[in-house]
Amino acid sequence: MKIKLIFLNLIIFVSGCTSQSITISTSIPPPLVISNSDLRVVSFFNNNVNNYQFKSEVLEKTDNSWEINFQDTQKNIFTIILNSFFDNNNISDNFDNISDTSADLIIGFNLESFELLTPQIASNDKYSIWIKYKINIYDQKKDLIQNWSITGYGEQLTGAFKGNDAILNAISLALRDVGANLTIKLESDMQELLNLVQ
Amino acid sequence: MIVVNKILTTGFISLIIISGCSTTRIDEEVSAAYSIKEGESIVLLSDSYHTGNKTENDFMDCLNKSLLRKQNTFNIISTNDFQNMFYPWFEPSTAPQKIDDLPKLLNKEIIKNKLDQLQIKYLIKITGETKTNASSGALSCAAGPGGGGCFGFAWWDDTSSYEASIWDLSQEVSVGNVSASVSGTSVIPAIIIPIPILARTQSNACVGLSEQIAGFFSK
Repeated sequence: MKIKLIFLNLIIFVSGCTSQSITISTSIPPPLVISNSDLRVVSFFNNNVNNYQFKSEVLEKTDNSWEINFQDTQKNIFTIILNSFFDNNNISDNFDNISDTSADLIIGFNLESFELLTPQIASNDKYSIWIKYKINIYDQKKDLIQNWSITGYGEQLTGAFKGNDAILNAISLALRDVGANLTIKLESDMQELLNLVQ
Repeated sequence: MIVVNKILTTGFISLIIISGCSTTRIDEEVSAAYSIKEGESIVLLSDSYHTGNKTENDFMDCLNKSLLRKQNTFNIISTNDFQNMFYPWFEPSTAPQKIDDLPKLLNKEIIKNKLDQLQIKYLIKITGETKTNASSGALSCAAGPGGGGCFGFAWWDDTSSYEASIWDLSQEVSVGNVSASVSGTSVIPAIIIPIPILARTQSNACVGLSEQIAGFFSK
């Protein structure tokens, strides 16, 4: 560990300020939940969920700038969760394209914030990621019935990881945590949702 | 020349003695009756980083592999496989942190049925980490057109301290705790070439704790 830290400091000192580009393609397993076959659900995703690209500001001289391309990872994760809960889940391009009465429940996803702490910024030996989504739920008349904030946190010690693996793992853990928190929220509020749309 | 050789030899021997100077402490506590049959399974799960726990991923990998080698009575479902099969109920932010959290989770029929189907009888919660307590010395390296080299001496003390709390999932009680704590000193003397002499406290703690867990279930 100590040797790794010495070499890491040496590498940072030698390399100075650089730009790192990474692409996220993580996924989650299908949640272990009971599915509902009665409700017709349509989901839509804002652009920052469909194809988000994060670019960090350089705060420290020795820090790297990060460009993180999420591709459609977030959309895929939310779709896996919704497909586990609802047998009848369809995706729409946007909210306006969803016709009245075509769904019992409409769920919209919006990325509200993404925060990254590197070991250089936080003066520690880990990457920390925090993500927050705003999730709007509408009934079949497209009236807003619920508004949820779902967050996710992931951290990864740099210790045993090579290259960008530590930051990639921290992001995967944060997205997995988002999926876990959304699943638990859906599971606990399912009866309330059913009551609201019936 | 003979004097120099004697000094070097003495220094080398003392270095080996310093690096070999590690201590291991092992504890076991039984709080309820337990037994495991052939075909039943256990799972190792580290406490969450959400609660400040810092058990390393490589320690969990080592513990899974070491326990697999040390016994053939029961099955060990790897931590990653278990978390994927039961997603999202045993994630860092959702897994039960105390034994009192278990009933709420096990009341969910879908989880209880899957645990029964896989014959998972015990969940072993791991806490702890490897810490550097103190370090000292100086090591400097230089390189020029004629070559390069390092000179100096650095050392540090590590303590690897881990505890396993064994939960019976059918009775929803903690049946016991085992722990392993290993302290050791690592040194890097450098005369042109640095020679790291490392006290492998984490891997020794991994071996110690896996022997403790295997021994716990063999009684």
